Amino acid sequence: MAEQQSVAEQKNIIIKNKSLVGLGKVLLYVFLIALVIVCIIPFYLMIINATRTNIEITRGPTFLPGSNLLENLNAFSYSFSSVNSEKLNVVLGLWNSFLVSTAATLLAGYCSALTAYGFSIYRFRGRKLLFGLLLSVIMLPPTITLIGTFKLMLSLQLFNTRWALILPAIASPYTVFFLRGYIGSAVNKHMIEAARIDGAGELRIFHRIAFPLIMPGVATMSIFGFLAQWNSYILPLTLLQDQSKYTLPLIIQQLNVSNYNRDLGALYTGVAISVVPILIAFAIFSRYLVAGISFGAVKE
Amino acid sequence: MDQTKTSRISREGYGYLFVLPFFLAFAVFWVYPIVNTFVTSLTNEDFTLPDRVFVGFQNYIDELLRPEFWGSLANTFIIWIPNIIAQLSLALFIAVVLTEERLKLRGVGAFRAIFFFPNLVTIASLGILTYAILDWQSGALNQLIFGTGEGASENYIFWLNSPEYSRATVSIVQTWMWFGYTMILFMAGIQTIPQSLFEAAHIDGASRWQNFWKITFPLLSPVMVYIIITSFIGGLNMFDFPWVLTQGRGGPEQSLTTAAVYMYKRAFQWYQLGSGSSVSYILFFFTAIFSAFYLRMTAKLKD
Amino acid sequence: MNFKTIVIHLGCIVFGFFLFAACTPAEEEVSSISIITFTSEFNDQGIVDDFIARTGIEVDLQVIPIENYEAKIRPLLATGQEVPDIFVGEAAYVRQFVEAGHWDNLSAAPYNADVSGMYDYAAEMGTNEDGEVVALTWQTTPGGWFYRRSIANEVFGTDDPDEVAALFADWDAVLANAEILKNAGYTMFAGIGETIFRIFYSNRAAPWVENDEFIIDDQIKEYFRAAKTIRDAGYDAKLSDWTGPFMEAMNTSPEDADVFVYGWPTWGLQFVLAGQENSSGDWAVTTGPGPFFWGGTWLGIYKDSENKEAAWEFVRMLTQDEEYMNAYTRKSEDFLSNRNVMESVIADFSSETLGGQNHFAYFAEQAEGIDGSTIQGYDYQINQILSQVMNEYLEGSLNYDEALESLTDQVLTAFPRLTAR
Repeated sequence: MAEQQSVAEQKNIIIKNKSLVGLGKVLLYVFLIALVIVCIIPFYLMIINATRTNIEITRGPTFLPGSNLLENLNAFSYSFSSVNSEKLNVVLGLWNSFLVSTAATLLAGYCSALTAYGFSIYRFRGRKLLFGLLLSVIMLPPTITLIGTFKLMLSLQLFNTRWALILPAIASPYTVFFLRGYIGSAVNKHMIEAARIDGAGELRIFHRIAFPLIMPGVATMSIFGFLAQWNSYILPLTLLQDQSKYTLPLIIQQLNVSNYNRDLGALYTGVAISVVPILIAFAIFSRYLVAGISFGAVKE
Repeated sequence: MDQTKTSRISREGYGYLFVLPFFLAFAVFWVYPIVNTFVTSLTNEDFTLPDRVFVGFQNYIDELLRPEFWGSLANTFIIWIPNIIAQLSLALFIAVVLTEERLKLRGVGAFRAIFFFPNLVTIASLGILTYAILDWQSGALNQLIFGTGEGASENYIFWLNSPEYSRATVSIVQTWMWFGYTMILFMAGIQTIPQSLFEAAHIDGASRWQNFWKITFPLLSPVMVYIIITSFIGGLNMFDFPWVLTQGRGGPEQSLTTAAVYMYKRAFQWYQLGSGSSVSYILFFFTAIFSAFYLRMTAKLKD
Repeated sequence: MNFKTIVIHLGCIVFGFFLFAACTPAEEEVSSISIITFTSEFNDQGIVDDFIARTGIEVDLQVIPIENYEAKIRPLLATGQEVPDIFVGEAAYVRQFVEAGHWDNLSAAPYNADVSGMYDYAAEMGTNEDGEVVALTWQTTPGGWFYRRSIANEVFGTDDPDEVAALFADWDAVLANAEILKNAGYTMFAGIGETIFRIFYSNRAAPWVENDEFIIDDQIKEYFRAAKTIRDAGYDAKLSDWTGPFMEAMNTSPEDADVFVYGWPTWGLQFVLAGQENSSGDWAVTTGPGPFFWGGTWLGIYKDSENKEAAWEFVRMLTQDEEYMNAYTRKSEDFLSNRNVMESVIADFSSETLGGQNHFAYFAEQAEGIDGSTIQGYDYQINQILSQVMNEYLEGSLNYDEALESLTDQVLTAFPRLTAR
């Protein structure tokens, strides 16, 4: 009897819960969709304003596109070869950013895989110490060593060259850290032993057997590395001087401080141009990105 | 037998070769700047002065006695603290909701991706965008709030000329940029919690609220610590956004001169590399303490 | 694969980059010079092309955005690395460069620079304490107030520069006429910015810093008071310099015009006003309540340059060669530093943007009255701080005393070796 009653009660609770859940769900959706709008609307306004003239933008916002996109783009249409500060060179900025980010990413991917492989496959003396050294700077942000880096690049004569942004990628502690964990699960030591018995050299084993297996991990880190380089601001600001070498963020910032002729339409267009490659990368790789950032917090 | 042993030893020696390029670059691009910044901090190096003299810890003393230095640290915290609280609560709530089995929300993947997107956008671009949207005369925000009709501009607020609004802006944009990232970390953390724990709790008649406080929250604390520490270090070095937003000037009443902006101004706007380096090292010191604290915490939490 | 191959392999990866990077600077050739500048006119006005065409000397030109320029050139000078053969200095800090001794003495052989034709201040700014000319300029930058002819006609019944000058005779007259404009539905100024600041700034008795003491000149105090009066009385449109709406107010056609006057130096016409298509022809220039100048670019040859002769060719063409300067000023409408050149151009000149006015005649008169003696190396930074403080003062978050105090505090933070008087 008592049991029956409790079953009935439970049923009641479940039914009640169900309608509550229904209402709660609707509210949750409303909340989540509102947040989606908050996340998207600045970019939407940006794209709309990129199609409008300076006067239109000064007069007020709208959610409908204008017809000035080509004119605005024209403000940037200047060539790769000449630096013309009246027409800010967003195209050149894109190219510089692409060059630096790609080179740094490739270098970081290969060298980090090499290093991580060295740490996880071989048991050489002092490897714990070396790895500890590597870990000790993992959280060190570039601002702290900025002055030292700046003086280093001056004395290496790398100041005002793209190499100053590319070469440090050889030592990417976080990528090594990530890949060492990855190799542990992706590379089967028996396969390496088998290859050794077949007489393959160590480097050959790395290139032919291990590297393809690590590749997905390298790819994940490469997306992050590329985006980090692409978005990097304080280092190029400090290490580059010639405007023709400026990466995109520096050029974009120029849009906001350049005097003479301020055109808001062109400004929004420039910012939009800088965001589009990220949108594309995001659309293709968002799954890997999500997997990649989860790693840091829940490793082991 | 002997032969295999020696070959084994020399084979393990290959490890050095594999890590060699890394450590060469590490010595040049990490160790040297760290050491050099310290050495510089002990001198009066200044691009506008001809000679460079060893001054011991004088730069550190000077900086620690400057109200502007403490002001820049205070700015950093005034911006960071509301941001981390808002970011953690928002992210945690959404993460719990999106992972809640019983709710069966649709479009979890899409929500997760969209919330994360602002985190990927170039901060310099966001700075310009914010600047344009908040512009006193032509910014969309004033136009949306007060309209664009005759005389409407009388009411327009000069957002970026007020220290409070400026700091709030940076705080809000930081939250906006990072809550999606934090949410993903929480979701990953929640997914590592064994489902059996919830099932057991369900059998014991625990409510969802109890589940959250008794199971989810405690088990997420390592993730939470990780987020707070990395965010703190990031906050201490926040440069791009306030710099771009204020066009390198530091904002009204220097309200957006964060610690990193202050360091940069010292070194690269006023050319006092010695003083600037000492600011770097004071920040470095804070970073080191918090990193150590983090490692301690995680070690403890694991036990 | 053996040990040696691996070493070679790794060596290639790591050192290859270093070698490549180290070898990138091109081989030194005598017939090539390097120039670092912040102005775009070397390119835009074809100066570099003209030079190459005339001499056959190659030019490696680096343009650094003006707000980054000082921060970029100083480390090069401090370390002596990669300093170009020619680099420029802006008025705000050229004095510091001149005294620091980075530039070669152009008064001596083989250069023997002749500054007798130059406007006095232009030569003085490039001359060091020992009387040696170390930097030369091709331009002078006296300023004037550019006003809307349409508004002047409607409100004051005249657009003649001499008569309008009377409206700006002194600050009392400016304020009285601002009231008239306001009642007629116009505003005198776009905002509290360079237009007003430059006049007070150029007429200070003392520089910002004397004997390592920071000084707030009476003119600066006057500036604070005048700015507050103007803002509180509603004589400005509250637009910040260089912003979109600020530019837009300059570009509106005469029927929609609202702002009456903008203060610009010579280059303001070439770089700013000439680009405002809708308002072209609606402008004229006249004297404001005081003379002023704004900006200017000086060129010098690095003292350890290996291409001094070729570098001098460039400096000579731009600042000494009257024939070239004559052609250049007609093409660019820039106002040059050489009296003889300007006098020959003035005779037959008129500007379309200014509705046919001969602004060169006006500027030639102004150029004689300029005094650059209060300009110092500190000015750029201090002026930046001042403009920030001014905003806070106008918004009411600081009162007058607090504003001056805040200015002093911030300057002393930026330059710890200074004391306040």
